[in-house]
Amino acid sequence: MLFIDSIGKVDAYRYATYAGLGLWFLSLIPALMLRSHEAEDRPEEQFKSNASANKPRGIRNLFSGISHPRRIVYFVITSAFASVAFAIVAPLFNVVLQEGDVHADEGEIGVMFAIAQLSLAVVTLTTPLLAARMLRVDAIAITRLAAIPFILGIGLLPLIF
Amino acid sequence: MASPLDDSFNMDVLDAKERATNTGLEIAVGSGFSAIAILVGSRLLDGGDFTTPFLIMAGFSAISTLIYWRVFRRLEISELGKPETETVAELAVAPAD
Repeated sequence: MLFIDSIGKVDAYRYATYAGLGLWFLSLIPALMLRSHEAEDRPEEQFKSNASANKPRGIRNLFSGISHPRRIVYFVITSAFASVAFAIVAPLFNVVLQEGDVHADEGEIGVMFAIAQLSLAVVTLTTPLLAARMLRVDAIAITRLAAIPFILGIGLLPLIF
Repeated sequence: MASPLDDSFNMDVLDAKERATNTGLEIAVGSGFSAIAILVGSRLLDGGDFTTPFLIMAGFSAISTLIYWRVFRRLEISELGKPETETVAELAVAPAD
């Protein structure tokens, strides 16, 4: 029995939002506890005096701490491509599942998302084992590329069957 | 799935004082492109095309990964060195420190 069946769509959304807000407030507890350790374990402190002495003004200040610009450019480029890949369809998965070939209702979509998140949680736990056995960059590439057959499957399988 | 390793690698190859800037730039640029991508994706879905967005997703994922792999693999080998291969059993009995 799903909540949406017993209390209705609007109330289900409302209570889900309340639950999300409650969990967000709970997440503040460990965040506030971190503050007590900030002074003893804060890497920014080691260059604070140096930075304030020769502090550039204006927009240059934004990038004054960068010592590996080329690496950052590549991180930003690859992240931008990954963002486009994610954003082109992932925020709209519910639309795809409801209006595409699956024609799933809200309850079924919720169950699918829950199973997907659970699977992701379990699989993510295995990534440190991969990293211990190969280069981290190789492990990152393998785990990212492993998703591609599934992405293609979602898009292409409805055309085949 | 790759994000724990991604974050760990990111932190290792950047200095403490540039990590926040890097993360900020990644989020800012990524969010800008995401905004455009969501718009394009929604137009495609509105037109009844439920295949092309997934092809674009797969293509961009592959491009991102290949660039990442080509650029940062060499960096990891030169700066951090190759890891010592350990079996799962060795990992299980290894001391925590």
